[in-house]
Amino acid sequence: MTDTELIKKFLSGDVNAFNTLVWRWEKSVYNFILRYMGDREESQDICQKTFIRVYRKLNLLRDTEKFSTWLYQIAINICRDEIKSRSRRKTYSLDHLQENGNGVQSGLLNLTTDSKSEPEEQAHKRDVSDLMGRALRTLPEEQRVVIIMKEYQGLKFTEIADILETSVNTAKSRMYYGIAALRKIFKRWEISKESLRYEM
Amino acid sequence: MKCELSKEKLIGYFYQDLPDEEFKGVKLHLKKCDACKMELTEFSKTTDFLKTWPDEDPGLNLKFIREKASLWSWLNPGWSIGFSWRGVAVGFAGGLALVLLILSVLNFEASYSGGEFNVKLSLLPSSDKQAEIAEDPLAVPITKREFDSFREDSYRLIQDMARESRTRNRNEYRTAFREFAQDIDYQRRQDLSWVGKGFEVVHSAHDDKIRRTNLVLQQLIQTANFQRVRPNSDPNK
Repeated sequence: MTDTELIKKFLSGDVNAFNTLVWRWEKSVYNFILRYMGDREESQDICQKTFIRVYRKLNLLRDTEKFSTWLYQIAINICRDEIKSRSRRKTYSLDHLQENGNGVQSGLLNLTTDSKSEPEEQAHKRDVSDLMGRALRTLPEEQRVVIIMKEYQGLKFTEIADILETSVNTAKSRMYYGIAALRKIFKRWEISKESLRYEM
Repeated sequence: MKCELSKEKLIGYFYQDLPDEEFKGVKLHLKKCDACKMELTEFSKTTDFLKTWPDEDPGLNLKFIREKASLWSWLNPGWSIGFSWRGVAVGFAGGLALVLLILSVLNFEASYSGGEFNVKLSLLPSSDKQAEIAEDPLAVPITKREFDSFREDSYRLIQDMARESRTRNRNEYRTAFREFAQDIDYQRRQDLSWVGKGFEVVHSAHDDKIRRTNLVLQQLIQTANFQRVRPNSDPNK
């Protein structure tokens, strides 16, 4: 059943149709938020908020064909609101402190250890996530969001442009500069395939 | 990138997100441009690194259940534009509320008698007033002069009250300040007496010390004199 059909069923009173939509999009939206925000707990909260808002406002969506675009728009708006309120509170996460200090170096050292056993492999995966997250968070927000949408969500540039309410060329240009900046960061941090030790 | 190919086209080619014509154009360009080829290789390496970040399980298990519609959600159908019976109902209710508000404002009465303010709010003129008007055949509307004089009286009354209130406040402040000044004066005297006593204690302690020092010095002088006189006391030795 397509998203549009599920939305129609939900709007005619079938709440299970909405639960199916949630089940279909939850992982995708959560991972998008996680890569954007960098904090797992906060990302879970934002993911919940996103679906609650979708539940309440779905009757206002005019073009149900563009449900995914609308969903990502809601998620990104909530993320931006969270960042704003976080900066108002002026609290700094441990991640943030590590970015400014030696965190990057220590992350790199962890990656070069042998990771064969399962718990270690899990830890290694977390290190890779943390490292990539830190690298992404060094980019300006407008480039970061385009890279996440293209590389991890697999969206087309037209969809990205729709979500961010910008032109396709702007989205492509942000992608280009973002990738170029990441290349420099990876070089500076001396990250190579060997250091990651993962099949790519 | 040092050639004329735009970065947007190159990135579009890399992600195969270009119209056919442009895609072919970039492909041709790449055959003769090493810089762009190199750029694409670097893109590929960078995105390969990014792909090592795996998806995670959210572990949320969100499940929605049907909530009971509140009155507000029924009244607020999302502010959508267009005809709806719900909109008509909301409009009618709003209009009715406005009419009731106007009526109640028109029948607002305030009076002051015997030192008390009375305020009355009703949709229709008060029953007393209605009965008065109905029963009293001599009741006539007041003239402008009467209305002006009533207004002047009210104004004067309010002025008197304000003046009275100001005077009362001033007296209260004056009393409070006087008491405060007395307290401060008393406190100052207390402090001075404590300081005086302190000085006396210090003075007496100081005197004691000087007396003791004098005593010690005198003893020392006596001892020294005695030591100086002893050798001459026995000249045969």
